Amino acid sequence: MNVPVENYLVLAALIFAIGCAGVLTRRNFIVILMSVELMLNAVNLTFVALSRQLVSMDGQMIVFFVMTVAAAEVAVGLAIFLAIYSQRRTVNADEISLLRW
Amino acid sequence: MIEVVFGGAELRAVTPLLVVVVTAMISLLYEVFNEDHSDPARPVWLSLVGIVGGIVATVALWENGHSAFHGTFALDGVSAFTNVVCLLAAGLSLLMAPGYLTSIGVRAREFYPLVLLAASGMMVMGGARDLIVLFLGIEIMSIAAYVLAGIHRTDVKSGEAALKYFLLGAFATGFLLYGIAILYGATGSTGYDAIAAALPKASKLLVLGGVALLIVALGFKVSAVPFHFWAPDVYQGAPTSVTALMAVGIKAAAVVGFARLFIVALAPLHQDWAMVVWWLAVLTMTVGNVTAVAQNNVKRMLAYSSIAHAGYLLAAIVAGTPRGGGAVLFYLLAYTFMNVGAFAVVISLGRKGEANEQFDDYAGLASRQPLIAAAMVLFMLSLTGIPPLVGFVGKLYLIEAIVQAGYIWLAVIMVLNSAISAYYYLRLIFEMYMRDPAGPASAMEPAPLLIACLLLATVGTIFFGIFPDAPLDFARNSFLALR
Repeated sequence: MNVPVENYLVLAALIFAIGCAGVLTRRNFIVILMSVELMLNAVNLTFVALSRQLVSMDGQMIVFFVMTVAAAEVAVGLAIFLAIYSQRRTVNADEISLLRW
Repeated sequence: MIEVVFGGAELRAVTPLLVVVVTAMISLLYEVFNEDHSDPARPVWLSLVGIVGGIVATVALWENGHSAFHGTFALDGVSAFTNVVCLLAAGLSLLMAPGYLTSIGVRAREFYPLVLLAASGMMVMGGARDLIVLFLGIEIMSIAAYVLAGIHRTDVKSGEAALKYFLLGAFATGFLLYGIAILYGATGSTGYDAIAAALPKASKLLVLGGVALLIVALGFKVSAVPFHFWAPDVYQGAPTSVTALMAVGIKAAAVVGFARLFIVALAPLHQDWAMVVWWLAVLTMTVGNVTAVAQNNVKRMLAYSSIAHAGYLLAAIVAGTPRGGGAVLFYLLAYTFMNVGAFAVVISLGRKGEANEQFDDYAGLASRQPLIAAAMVLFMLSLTGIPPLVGFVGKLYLIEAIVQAGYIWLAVIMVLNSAISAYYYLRLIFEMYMRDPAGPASAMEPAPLLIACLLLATVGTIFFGIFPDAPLDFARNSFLALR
């Protein structure tokens, strides 16, 4: 079965939009971080689909970079969440507003 | 079949980077195994060696038209200038750190290697000639910066700054990558030269969509309005030495990344993106300046002023000419000296337990600490753009480049904005000289390294104001050589 590239791109765009909406509407840090990961994986899907379409390996190489960076980002992000949680006992972004948002 | 190369040209391009990164690694390992924590200033020396080594390697090895790794990374004039500016910013914020970190009770010795790692990310951004290298540079810099913003573990504001910076930074990364993916789909490449060559044949709709996403992501990094909401909070909450690094180094790297991408890779589309960036620049400088007027906290005022300065820099990118690019580079150098100087003064007034960051805390400073007050006057006048200081020359060349490219209204708006900015810069001078001190005289002596930082910033602000020709010609020629 041959799935046309447009289907992949539309699916990726939808996932990206869902991730974007998640970041903007959710107030729990962990869920916001998960939404960001959703956006990054949508981008990965786009890269892989385009890579097959363009018959170039660049897109697939880029995915490795994106995954590595995303892992580093999650490590730092969770450490920041832990530090905040040990100070404030909360993971809700609305309660973190000493400085005006 | 692409051949994997790592020869002389490659080694040459990454040597300054290697010097900085290796020093950071050595410094990190040394601090892990070293038990003697008696002297808080000791770890700074090794890091300063890395900074100086990076600058020396850059000056020795740069060459116009040089590029390596299949043209994805360059050590040409533009990246050499960026390297020097970013390493200077990192070095100056290292100088102000030891005394300050001790006074606020931060014992984290990983601070120093983290500053070096952030600086190495900035250097990658300055030399990036490929969207993926640009992305890697942004992330190397940002991940170190997220940690640095939250390095004051027991302070709730510092944690909050790190959290906001991280969440919005990660969000912006998503946009950056999606923009890269769309441009890759439209042009079949991520290299700047290949993109510029493929643009005329590419689908215009796709390309413009990708460029819009890139503008959002880079606008976030340079804190352009309307993507600036994180900046005042993060700048105010982060430890002041980190704020200085973010306001100067990170902004410089992001602006150069922006300029190289738009002036080189997207040059064929100048008509299309110029209008968007025009509005971005006008909004950024106006909102930054108007909001800065209403601030009562000096650190927050400097944050809004740094947003306004991002607007001036974007305005020169709108011009899209080598002259505009050169003016941007020179202004970044000018901004490094005057803004780091201002943050060093903010640090020198803080004492254990009280930050003294409100405008009221500066009342009567001239009688309590005449030298520091005089230095602050110098930095404020330079930020306003008063001759013969470096801020004036920098702004003059920005405006010249904008007018030459035919954007008269943009230049007019920029001059009007400078007039607004005079209000809050001069207000601080008024506080220091015209009002009586509110509290008892401060007996605190600034640390010797902080004095060195203030001196360097003062000398830079005056010297390059009177003799701007050498760095200015260098900056212009390096952008001319890009074409």
